[in-house]
Amino acid sequence: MMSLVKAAFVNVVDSADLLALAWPGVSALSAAWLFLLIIPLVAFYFLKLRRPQVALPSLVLWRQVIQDQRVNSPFQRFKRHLLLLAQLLLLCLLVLAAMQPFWPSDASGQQSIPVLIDCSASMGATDASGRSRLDLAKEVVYKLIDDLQPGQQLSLIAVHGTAERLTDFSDNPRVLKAAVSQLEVRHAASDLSAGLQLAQALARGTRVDSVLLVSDGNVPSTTDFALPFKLIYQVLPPAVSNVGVASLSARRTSAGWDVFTRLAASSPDPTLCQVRILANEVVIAEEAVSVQSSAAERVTFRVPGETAQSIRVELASGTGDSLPIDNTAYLELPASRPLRVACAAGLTSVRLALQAAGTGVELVDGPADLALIDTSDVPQPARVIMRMGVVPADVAAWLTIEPGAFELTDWNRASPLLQHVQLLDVQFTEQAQYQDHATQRDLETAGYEVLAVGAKGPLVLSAQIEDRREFTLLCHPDRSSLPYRIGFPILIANVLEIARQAAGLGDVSAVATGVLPPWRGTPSARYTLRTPSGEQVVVADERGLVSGVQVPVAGRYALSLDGKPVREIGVGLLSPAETSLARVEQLDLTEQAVSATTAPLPTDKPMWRYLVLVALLVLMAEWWLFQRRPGPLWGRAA
Amino acid sequence: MSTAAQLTSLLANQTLARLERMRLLPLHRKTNRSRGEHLAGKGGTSTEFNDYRDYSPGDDTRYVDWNIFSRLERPFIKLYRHEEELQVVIIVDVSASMNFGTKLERARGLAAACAVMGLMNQEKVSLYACSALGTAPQVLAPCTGRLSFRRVFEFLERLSAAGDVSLEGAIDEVLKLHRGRGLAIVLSDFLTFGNLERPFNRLSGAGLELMAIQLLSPAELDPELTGDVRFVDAETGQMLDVSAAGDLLTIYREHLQQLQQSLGENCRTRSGRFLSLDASLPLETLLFDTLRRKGWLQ
Repeated sequence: MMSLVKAAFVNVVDSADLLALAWPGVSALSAAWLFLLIIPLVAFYFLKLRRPQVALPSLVLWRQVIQDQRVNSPFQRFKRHLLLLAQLLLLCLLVLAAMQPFWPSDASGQQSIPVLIDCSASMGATDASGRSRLDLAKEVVYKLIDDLQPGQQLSLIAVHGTAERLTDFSDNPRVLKAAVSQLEVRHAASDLSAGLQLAQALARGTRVDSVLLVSDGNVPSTTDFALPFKLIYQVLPPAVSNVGVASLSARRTSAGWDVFTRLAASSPDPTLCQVRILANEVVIAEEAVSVQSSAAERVTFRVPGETAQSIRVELASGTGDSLPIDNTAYLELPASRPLRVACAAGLTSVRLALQAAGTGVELVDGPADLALIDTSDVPQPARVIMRMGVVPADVAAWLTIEPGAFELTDWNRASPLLQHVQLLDVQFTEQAQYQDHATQRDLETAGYEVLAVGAKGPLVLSAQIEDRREFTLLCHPDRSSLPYRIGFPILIANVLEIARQAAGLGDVSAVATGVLPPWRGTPSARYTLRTPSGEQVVVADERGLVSGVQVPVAGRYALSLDGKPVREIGVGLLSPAETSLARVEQLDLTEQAVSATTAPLPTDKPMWRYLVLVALLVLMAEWWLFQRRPGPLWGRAA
Repeated sequence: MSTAAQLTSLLANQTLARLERMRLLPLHRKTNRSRGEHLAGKGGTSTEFNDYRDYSPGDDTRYVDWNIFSRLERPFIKLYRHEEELQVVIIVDVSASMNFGTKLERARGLAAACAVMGLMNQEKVSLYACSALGTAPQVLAPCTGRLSFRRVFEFLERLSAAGDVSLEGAIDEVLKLHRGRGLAIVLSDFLTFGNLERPFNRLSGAGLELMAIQLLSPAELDPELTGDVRFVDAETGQMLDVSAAGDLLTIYREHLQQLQQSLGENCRTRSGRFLSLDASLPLETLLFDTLRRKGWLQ
């Protein structure tokens, strides 16, 4: 009916401005049949008009009043039937409300709308009233649910370190609101691309014109994603300022450990904080620092290295700290010891280089941190293995080592193994060659990275196999001029440093929320992991490797076996981006930029509530005007 | 201290005592002048001196007692029994319309008060109570003197309101029975469909000065009504449906005022007087305040 009226109006008046008018829409036009209730309403009104009888001494004066022409004016006739008109108005208002009219917006007509709700750590930041950004986001989504029109559905997706679908497309307000109410702040930075990819996956099953992102603005400014739909990026009001620990690491020195912690802030104004350092729960340092967003503050301190140390850094601020989860960081420092190196007897030049490496290196025969071998198989377990002069067994079908001058083409100078190593003037008397039409791609498919390559084949390979790092120098160093070059001791020093890092004897960095680094324990053992939110069981594989352990919440985690403590790890947020609460005003996506908006989301505005409210006022007015019992002159007639 | 018994339920003893010293004040003393004017010509007629009374403008100066005037320097008129009698005719409307509020009670009280004042001033008082159309009114024959008090009170106390008599019909019935000039006091609500000019003319033509007192209850003077109502006439039983009665009250009051103005105009043009009274006011207030200030009593 509304479309017919609109079309008629448009035909009469040809005006571009009028065409742009937004007309109210109706969701339940079928309810219009309720207007037929007007017929019985009018009939009952005239049939059952109640008139109480009032006795009068005489009708003389009242007859004159009735015959007075002023009484019979159209306005007086209108007033006489005011009760009927009020009831008709009430009925029309209720029927219109039943037809569920709404004022259309840009979102009108969209049926399926995915809603991405940012649940990253920065959403826990509070404002002056104590409400977190996630609380505000929930209110926005609640309103969106309340304004849903018939036929419209929402799918809720939580975006944090990954993306998590909370509900399928649904128009059930109870289900949607229950999912929203269970949202919690996650101790992780937001991964916007995961959320957009999940929304894109949903769009394959149903038509999606636009996706809504509700966030505090602390998201990656650049995301490699091509939008197949419109993205509405709504940012919430900012929280108060925040300070936190952005990073925590340590470097081994001859005297022990040098620990470095970096503090970050969201406000450009200096914020005074108190930093407290604890080692094995004993306060070893306390310092007052001033932190601001333009300059990260670094605090360093020294820790002895003879014994293992569990470092905890705590940050306290009198004012301007809206996010408490980034105020603590943990770092586990192992006890100092020399690097255990197992070197094959045939690697004479390597042995000499190891001896020249100085203190901190211990040659062993058994299990070691670094194994320098000249065989294909691994004789003893080690974190880092370097083969020299042999082809790894899993690629033996593709490579052979043939005698002949090796012509080096290029090498990866940024690789930790080859940095500062000059190979250009090194002469090799044997070379690795591809067999059976094998190419570098086959090696890469097998998981190997080619660090140095020649004309006919590779020279240096690198691979991560389970928890160990394997390097392969396909040419034996004793059959080259490499030991006589300055690059050789540098190469040995690089592999020693790689082994130190792997053994935790070099630089150590604090663990951030996410996944624990792999750890080697007892084969097939069932460990109990006590987390800040409960307990869970973690099982080591047949080789004793414990990997893929989720640590989503900042705090202390403790591994135990049969009731005996095995290991304790502290996990912190350690995200400079989340701590800074930096607000991104524009998202740079692939070939598209989306600007943030703070305006209320465009939703169809239901009008039935206002009609019901007006109907209630009409009912109250009708009661007040007409339901009062008329005061009798002398009493009721018998 | 013992309380003296009330002589009548219509008037308190104190009110009665006060009324005995008061008199009605007609505008023109319409006495039986034919006798007075032909006193000298009639032989054998006894003209017995009765009493003195104050001189009123219009009195025949031949009857002024100059001896008293010389002594008191105030004129007094000699009263002769037959010549100076004033007929006081009290007509009380006792139709069903008077049976609302305190209208009937006030009408009886005012009738009793007027009768007392007339009797105490040696005037001939007669009472007529009119109720139903086509039936003769209840009559108290003309009487004089203090001794007639009891008869008057008993007559008025017996009255009850019922019937559908119109005021025209009531006055017609009264004039069939009454002879003589004087004063006609009509006590009614004057809510009648008929035209009152003819009965007023008849009263004036019969030599009766009209003193019309309209008695209305507060609900008639200022009704409080709302919504849709069905009015029922207490006398005729007719019904009238009125919608939004509350909105018509202003027009009602205008018509009431027009009725009162019309009645007053009708009375004045016939040398009479009209007064509309609130029947809810105390009788003493009506007598000693309202009527006295209006010059109807002294």
